Amino acid sequence: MTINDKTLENLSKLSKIKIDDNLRDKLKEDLNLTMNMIDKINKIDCDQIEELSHPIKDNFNLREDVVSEDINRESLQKTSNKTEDGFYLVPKVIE
Amino acid sequence: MNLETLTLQEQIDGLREKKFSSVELVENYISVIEDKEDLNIFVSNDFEKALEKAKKSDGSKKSQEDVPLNGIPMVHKDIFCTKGIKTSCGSKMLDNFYPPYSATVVEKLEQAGSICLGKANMDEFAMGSSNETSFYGAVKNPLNIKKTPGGSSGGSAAAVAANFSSFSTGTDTGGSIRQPASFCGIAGIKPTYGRVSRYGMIAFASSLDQGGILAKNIKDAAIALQCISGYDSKDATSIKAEVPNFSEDCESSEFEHVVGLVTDLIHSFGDEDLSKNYGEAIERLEKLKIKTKEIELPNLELSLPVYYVIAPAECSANLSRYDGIRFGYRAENVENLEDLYFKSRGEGFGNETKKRILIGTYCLSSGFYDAYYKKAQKIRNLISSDFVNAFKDVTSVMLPTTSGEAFDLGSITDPVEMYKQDIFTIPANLGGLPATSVPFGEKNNMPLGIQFIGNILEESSLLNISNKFQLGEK
Repeated sequence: MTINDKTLENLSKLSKIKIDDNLRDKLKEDLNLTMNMIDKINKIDCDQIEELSHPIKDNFNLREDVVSEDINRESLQKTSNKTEDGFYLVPKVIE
Repeated sequence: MNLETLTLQEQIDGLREKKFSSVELVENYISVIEDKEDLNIFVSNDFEKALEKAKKSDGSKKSQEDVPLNGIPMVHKDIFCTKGIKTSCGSKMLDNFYPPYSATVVEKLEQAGSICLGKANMDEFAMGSSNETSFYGAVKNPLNIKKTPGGSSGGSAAAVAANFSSFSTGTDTGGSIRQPASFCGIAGIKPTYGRVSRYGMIAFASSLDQGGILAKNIKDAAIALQCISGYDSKDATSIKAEVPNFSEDCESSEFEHVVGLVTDLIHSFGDEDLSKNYGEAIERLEKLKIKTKEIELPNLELSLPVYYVIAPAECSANLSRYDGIRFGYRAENVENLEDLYFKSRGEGFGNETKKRILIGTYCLSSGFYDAYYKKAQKIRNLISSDFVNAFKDVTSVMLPTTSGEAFDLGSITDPVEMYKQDIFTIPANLGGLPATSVPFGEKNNMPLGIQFIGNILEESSLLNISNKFQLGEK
């Protein structure tokens, strides 16, 4: 089994997702089924092949680094339910 | 006249000839939508604003050229940000999200004069093939309510099939426009990666995601695609290329076609119905006197495992933005900042989204990066090269859209069985290639689809062959 309790715990930590206890077994089963399907790629010899990270080669059109439009802070912060004086509120991090 | 059953082209003509008004069109649709609420197609709607806009459209003096879709109602997949209107992406995480800006696709369609009736339900963050991963519950297939409409753009496909609009927007990361189009008996196009701006389109897997159109037929899809295509400086992967006149090209007699076939590969699946429908599609091409050529796509079956490394890896990075602080769901009763992250993400994401983030995290984690992510990118190159080679001899490739018809809601519980839904559609995403689904054939009284895949930026030729195929013999 590729993904056991220990691996799942580590993945939960890395991805910062709390996993409910009642979900663990089903999640492990599904993840292992998926990894078994994925493991087919291990049988393919492609050492000499280049990686393809983007489907359209050489197409990165960066625009000039100037402000083209403003989204004001007030309208942007409306999407958060905890702000004060233009800041986002989070639980205390420094004692 | 049943205005809601008209095609987009018929609506454009009817409005121009003043056979009916935009207000009448919108009112008609509202009445249909309210009658068929049980299909669970809309996440939100804004009928009042739609009627206001329709009134303005009816009084507009702008030319057809300036506003090609003037007064035409339409539906957006709820993945496209709409300023001030809830954009949930089918997730509890974004159930409270009212974006401060609109997606380029949304702006372009507004500028073209169209009127958004509502936002269509979808699989959560576009991760799913049946619409069952939506926080709002699954959409029902209008052709048979026990069946799935497909996913992830299931709401968009069902909207067109149920006559909620003549066309809708969708997105396609591994087949999310083409598979639901096939399941609902309509047409769909995913253009070349970069043809349509991704700005304001909520990200799932950035090197695969592409916006497109679902419509009653290919001609209508071409008209709408024309309106959303083009370079956008807000998307660094947007392609700087002229947008041809898709709707004219779609019906042109200038295009020469050689359609690539993979008959042996289709037979190798051992599914008689699949082979039979593919064979009948070949017969239709022959009757239309369209040249064909057998080709090889030796790595096609590797698309599935490659996709399920690359898409989750990109999704795990993209979805790290949901931290419960700046926007989206925020958990209550937390002990500290770390706890806020864990609980917000644990409670805000659904199970399928969690699964894909965890798979992606695993494939990118220390010690596994080379074995999974790097390797998948190499095989992606092999699959893409198969198409580059094929396009030396052919102008498009014909494949089934799906291996079967729409299945019963709740009938697939094995995740890998569900992922196999996309075996024929994923290759086009891996290669960034444009692809359509055209309704063709049926099984168990449900529609099937045939897929055409074109070369990079060759949407005109692709739409042309798809339209010819859909119209059949003259």
